[in-house]
Amino acid sequence: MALAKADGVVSYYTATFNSDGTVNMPSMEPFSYSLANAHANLVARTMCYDFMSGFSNSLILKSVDYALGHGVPPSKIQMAVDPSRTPVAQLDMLVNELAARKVGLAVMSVQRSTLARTAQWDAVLSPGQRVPGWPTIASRAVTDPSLVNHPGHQTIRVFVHATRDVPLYPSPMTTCRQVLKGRGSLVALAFQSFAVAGARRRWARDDLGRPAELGLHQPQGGLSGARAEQPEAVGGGAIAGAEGELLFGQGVGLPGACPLEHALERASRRRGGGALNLPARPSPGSGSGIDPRIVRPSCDLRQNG
Amino acid sequence: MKQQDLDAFAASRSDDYSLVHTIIPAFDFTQSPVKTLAPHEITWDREYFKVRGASDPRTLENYLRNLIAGIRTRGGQVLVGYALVKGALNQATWKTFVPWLDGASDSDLERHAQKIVGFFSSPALQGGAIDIDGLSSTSRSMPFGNRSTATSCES
Repeated sequence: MALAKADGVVSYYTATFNSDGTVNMPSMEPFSYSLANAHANLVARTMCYDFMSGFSNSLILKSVDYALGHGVPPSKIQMAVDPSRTPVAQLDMLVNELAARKVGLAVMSVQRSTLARTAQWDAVLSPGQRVPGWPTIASRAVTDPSLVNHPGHQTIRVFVHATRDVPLYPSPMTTCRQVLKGRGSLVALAFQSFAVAGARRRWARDDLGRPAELGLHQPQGGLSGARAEQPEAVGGGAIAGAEGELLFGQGVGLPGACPLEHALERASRRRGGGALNLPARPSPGSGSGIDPRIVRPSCDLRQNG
Repeated sequence: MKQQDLDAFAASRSDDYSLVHTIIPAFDFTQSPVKTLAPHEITWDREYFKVRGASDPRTLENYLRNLIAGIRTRGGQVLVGYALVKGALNQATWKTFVPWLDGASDSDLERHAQKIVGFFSSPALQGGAIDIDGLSSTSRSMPFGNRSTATSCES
């Protein structure tokens, strides 16, 4: 399902547990936290809201620590609580502990009064972050003429490495800021072989400022992950900006969204009209330029920007 | 969802809104044994997903479409839910689905996942594709039934 909906968040429900294979809700199937690492867009949502049935903060945190201790990133864990079935004061304490671990919260059985409390919890979980969340846009052509100010475009300044077979050079672990300087577009390079699968995907705000991942969809199938250090925002397609930063435009490059060609045109304008220096695809015989499979030719550049 | 509720959602600083029960796999229970609508067609979860008591497809479709528009304009995302719960409504579907799930091959699961995602661009939708932001799915043995509805639709 994570692959079928690679451009969005897919969460699976599980229960608190202290080791893979056993859960604290006897009749619930234990789904390992490690599943969340299988795909970039997969999140484990843990049901831990029934304090009246023996749940406690310590039990929940034990489960969180187990997941974190087994290499599951905090952004891939959401602890689901139900304020209607749990003493709020206990949840307040839990939120403080989750914030220390940078783990998010899912609130069940939403009521108006719950939402007010949720804002307080979010302020603890995401201190200093912007309110409300990053705007999202539907899969459609970008129409705002200002790339910089368009709410669908954000900036990632340091792109540390891409994982697995994303064809970055000189090495996957090289700081891509260095690669970008004088090199043109890192992501244009990625776009030559990959469509970005993260359209509209937006990690929790408390992820901003910490490493984040971007899903890259191979045209021939499969999903690879790219990793960004200290992002200002995450989500959607990406293009390189004038200063070597990466501009993330939600939906860029995806079918029905702003085509890559259009995005690169915008990036070129931002650079003062100069053409982007698209690097050649590193694999032999692949040539340079944009992979036509991920360019939607119907976008009217004059109309859109 | 009313405008004031949408505004309350935005003020809550929540990132996502998940409907736990939105869709389920469809089976033909008029057949004996129960016939799978191979390879698992998807339909609205009309037992749980109700809008002011109504569960006809057009109402649910419109509700979801408007919900997504309302949440998106406030900076949020909407995840649809896919949940079959032991001991709750949709028991017939649950009983049929679990054995299928146990015996499903990788290709079966892949096809099923594509059906789930494809439902929201299905020609059966009268207003065109619905641009969901993600999926939220439950464990197949989750015991809480209707008490587990996380973000229930408007009543």
